[in-house]
Amino acid sequence: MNARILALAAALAAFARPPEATAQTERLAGRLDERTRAAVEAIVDSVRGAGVPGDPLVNKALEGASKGADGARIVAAVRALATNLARARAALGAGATEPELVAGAAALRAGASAVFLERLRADFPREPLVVPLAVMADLVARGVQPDTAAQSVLTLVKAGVREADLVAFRQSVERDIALGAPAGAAATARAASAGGLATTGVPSIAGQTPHPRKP
Amino acid sequence: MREPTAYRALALAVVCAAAGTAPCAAQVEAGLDLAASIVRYNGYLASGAAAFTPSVAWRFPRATLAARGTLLVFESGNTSVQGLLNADVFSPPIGRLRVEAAAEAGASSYAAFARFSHGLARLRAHVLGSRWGAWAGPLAGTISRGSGSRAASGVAAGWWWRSHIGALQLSWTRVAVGDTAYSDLEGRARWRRGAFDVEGSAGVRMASRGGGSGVYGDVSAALRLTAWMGLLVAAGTYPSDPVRGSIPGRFVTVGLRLAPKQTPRVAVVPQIAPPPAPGAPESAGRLESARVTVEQLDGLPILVVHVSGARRVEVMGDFTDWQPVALAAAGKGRFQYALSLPAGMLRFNVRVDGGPWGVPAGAGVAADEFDGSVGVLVVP
Repeated sequence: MNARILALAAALAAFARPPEATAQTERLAGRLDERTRAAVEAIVDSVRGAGVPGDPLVNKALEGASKGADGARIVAAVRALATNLARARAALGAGATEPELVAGAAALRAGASAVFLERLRADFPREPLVVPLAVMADLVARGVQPDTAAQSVLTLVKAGVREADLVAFRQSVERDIALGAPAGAAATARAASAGGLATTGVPSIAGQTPHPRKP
Repeated sequence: MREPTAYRALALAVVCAAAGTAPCAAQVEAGLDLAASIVRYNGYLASGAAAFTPSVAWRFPRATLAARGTLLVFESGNTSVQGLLNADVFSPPIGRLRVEAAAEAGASSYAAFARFSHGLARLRAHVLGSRWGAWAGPLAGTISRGSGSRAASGVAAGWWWRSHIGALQLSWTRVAVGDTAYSDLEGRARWRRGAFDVEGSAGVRMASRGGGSGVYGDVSAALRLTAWMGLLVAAGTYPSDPVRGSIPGRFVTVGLRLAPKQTPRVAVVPQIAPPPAPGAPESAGRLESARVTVEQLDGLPILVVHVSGARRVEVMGDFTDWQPVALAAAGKGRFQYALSLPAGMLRFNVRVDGGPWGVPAGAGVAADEFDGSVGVLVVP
């Protein structure tokens, strides 16, 4: 009975939504049970007014569905992401793009502080921040302390390194950690050699191998 | 801070080699190699290196204890330190059969980062003829890198023949280290004539999962100059060694060996420990050897997964609505996602040949909210 009511409510709510919202949540059709879908749609609707994009939230729900998570877990993950996206919006400002918000939310989830995001935006009001924020999130995920990761990224961005060099920096830290280096030391040391990084002409796209160096 | 074990092993070898009088009363052989090398490790530019390799061995009637250290100083100023300690004991003959129990411990460090150590135990049954022999037996142990450790196991078999002018040896080894497994088939020949002593080897790595594959080999020569000094020349290639923590490379070496006995086997093959492609440790099977890149196709970014020997590679992620999508095989181990990727931070997982979903090397790794991990790519 409850499921029917929720489904009816979701159907009625769909008429009241903007077209892009309907398109977003239509992606959930057939992937979630009605209760979970209704809960996710409710979250998407509730945060839209705060400038939180819906697509990342739908993506999160779909990821959970594909990974076999139960409804409660999916809803909790979507809610947590919505919270971080809202925090990222507040820290990065109204002009932040959706990719920036996604990267900012990932950085916040990883342990970065909202102050770091605010500072990054204040220092670079017009530059795209997707790559710095994504690198920050990745460093913390690899065990670098948030403060150290933030400082390393800020050092590089302020040194004027290109996005590709930031990606190469992330890969270098990843490599050093895999070799046994303490995560914080790897990040600090690699950031300190930012001048060298910036001149190596590393590829411009994530996932590619940096140019080799001497052992 | 570098691996203290490596320093201790190196220090032991240096002290014993310098003193000449070892703590044991057994027959002692000690030496010191001083060499200059040009090395090119996979993933690195070629570099010059100075190598200092002290060694010492105590030989008893049925046992041997040997230690060797290597200090490499590269052009960059980085150093690599390695220490290796071997001990083996033979049983008394039982007809043509003898049993050998051996243990090996080693440690290495490279620059300020890589630290690697291993311990191996080996048991071999030998069948011995007058000029030939054969052996077979298992090995087992553990390796550690940084704070993690993995079990190593394997089996080896071989055959050798010798005469007054030289020797031949063929061996086959199958080793598994964690999820990595490979087989090496090797042949080795040694020839002696007067002051010359030449040794060569050739091998092929095959049936490999994460250990690389291909052929390798080296040749080394020693020319005795005086009773205690010889000239060494060596060149070759070697494969990765997941047990001892070295990556593939090639080298050319010229050096001097200071030792009362000149043996040709050049111990100055410089090796360092970094793995060629750090990947997701939790991935299994072929996923461990997979690597993801974002490449440009007609000016648009596409996702490419590189994994040799795979029949089917699938991806699911933000850009597929988290539905599994089979990648198109493009030959030579390349599998491409047909559509261009949107800009931004993309989350995804990959699976190979229907195996578990995981994260290939080349991508960032983050914990997802569903008790797993997710790969992260940034497309500017």
